[in-house]
Amino acid sequence: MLLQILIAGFVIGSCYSIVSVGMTILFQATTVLNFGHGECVMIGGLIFYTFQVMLGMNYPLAILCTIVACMIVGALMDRAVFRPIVHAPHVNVVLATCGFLYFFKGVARMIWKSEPRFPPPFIDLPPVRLFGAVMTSQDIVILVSVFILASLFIWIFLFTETGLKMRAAAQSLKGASLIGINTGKLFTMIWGASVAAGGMAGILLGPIYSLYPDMGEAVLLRAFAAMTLGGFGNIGGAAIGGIIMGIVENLVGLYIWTPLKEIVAYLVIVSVLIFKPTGIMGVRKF
Amino acid sequence: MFILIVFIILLACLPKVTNNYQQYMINLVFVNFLVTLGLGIVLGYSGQFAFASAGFLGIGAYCSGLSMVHFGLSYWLALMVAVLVSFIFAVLLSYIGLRLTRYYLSISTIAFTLTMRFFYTNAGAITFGPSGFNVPSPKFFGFNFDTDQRIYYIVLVIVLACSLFSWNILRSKIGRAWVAIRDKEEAAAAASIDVKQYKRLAFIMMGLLGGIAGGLYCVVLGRITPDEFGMGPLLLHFLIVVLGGLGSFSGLAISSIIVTLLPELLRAFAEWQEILYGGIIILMIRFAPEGLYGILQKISVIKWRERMYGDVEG
Repeated sequence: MLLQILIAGFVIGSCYSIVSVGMTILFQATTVLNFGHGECVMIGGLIFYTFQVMLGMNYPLAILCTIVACMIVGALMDRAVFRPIVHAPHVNVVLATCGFLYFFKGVARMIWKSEPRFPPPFIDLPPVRLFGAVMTSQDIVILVSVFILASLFIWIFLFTETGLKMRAAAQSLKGASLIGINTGKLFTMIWGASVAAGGMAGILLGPIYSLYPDMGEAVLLRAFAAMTLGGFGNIGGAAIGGIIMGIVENLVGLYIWTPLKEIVAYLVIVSVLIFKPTGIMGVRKF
Repeated sequence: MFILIVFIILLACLPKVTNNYQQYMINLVFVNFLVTLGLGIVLGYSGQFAFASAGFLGIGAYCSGLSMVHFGLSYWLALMVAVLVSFIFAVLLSYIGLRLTRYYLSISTIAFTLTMRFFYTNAGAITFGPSGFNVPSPKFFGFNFDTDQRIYYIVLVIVLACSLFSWNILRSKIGRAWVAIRDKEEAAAAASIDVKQYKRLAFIMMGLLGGIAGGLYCVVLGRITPDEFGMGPLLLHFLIVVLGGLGSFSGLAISSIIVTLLPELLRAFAEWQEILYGGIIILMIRFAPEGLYGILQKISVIKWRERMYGDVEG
């Protein structure tokens, strides 16, 4: 039973970690914390559902279309709203992301209605037995793809020139523009990548978690908790924090009280902020 | 001054011409104005990301409602209890809040709001769980405030008193200190403003206004459920604050009227509500960050007044 719970926590936690990695890259480069990211996850999952189930595309093509669609959504968000207000006070930017939170929720309710949707899993093989615990094929798919995606993002962020530019832009927007970094283009790219990461999380979460318009807040707060746990703005920390978050949540649900699962994220946030504000891997910067 | 008195007399005469439902909506406008006043002060004046307005509204409503139901207190005592409890919560939250900045603060205040909501939903023995409970109508020396028109007078008096109080605070040393802290914290500290103390004060101000508004909210609604205090109302408060203009008093009044009555005008488009609200927030931030007050200024209604009277407002 314990092993089963740990596996379930690990799987859902790796989905959280891809959500929080998506938020972290955006935060690291643009210093915008996207309160609408939970909704991006939902929208991504639902777009995938539309392509795959309603339009009957095959799996890889649907994933590709979803990613492209999410990137377009992210780039549009940046071009239409966030680039013009890049110098505005932070309160305004945060409120704009909150605006997107409700906007996307409304769009989802409008187009896909309120009932939960379950996109089909990627492959449908018989579940694997492991020391008495059961792992479905979707669990394995999630673990593998999250591992690949997270390593990809971490590699881009820490070891490529684009990542270097992103970190430079985060440190000083003016300074980065002065040394010839095209920050506008960079930010548009990052918004696209961030929303696409959210969409991927939606695709992976869909079959095990279900997709519905109000899921965004729950996902968002768990991703926040993961980010806080891993040290705010630390991309590797965010990935690990997500997994810890998933496991803690499931353990609390099993051993203490099931409804408590909903607010475990907040308790984690508050206790991390009180006892170790830098998180497990972070350095306090602001 | 004369205009103000006429305005207040007109407000006091309002229940003569309204039916119950209209009066109920007007009461809601006032409550929304009061709670967003607190949020507007903390966001627009002191520049802190404290998204706890719905949380304090809930504390106020549940404290006053429950102390009436469980302990049989009169409404006025219950309102005192609500104010006291929200004050205590505001002080406690400010101790956490002052150690945090920006995003940390916004996250922990949202967490606070949702934790309170979780408590209302799951502590069924105390809070009557997700279905909520009915609030008894307030009495005053045998006079029963049982209709919306009668409740309106409670709401009117308390909201006017609170607005006068906040209006004076905003124009005092405290208000100026908040603006200074918002614009540049280091500079404010260098000008010997006790940054921590004033930030705490802004927090407490939000808590108090939210708590009082909550106390009014519970009698205005007559029945409270946990869903009144989650993320949905927070959207409403954001919308009012953004539409009115961050940190503008008269803009807030206009936008709380518009936002509260908007669902009525758009009843045919109920499912568009979230899109519309979110869209308005985004568009306002993008094109008119000063809000309605700024727009009014631009189309020079206020400029005209300045030219006529040489008057300066706000």
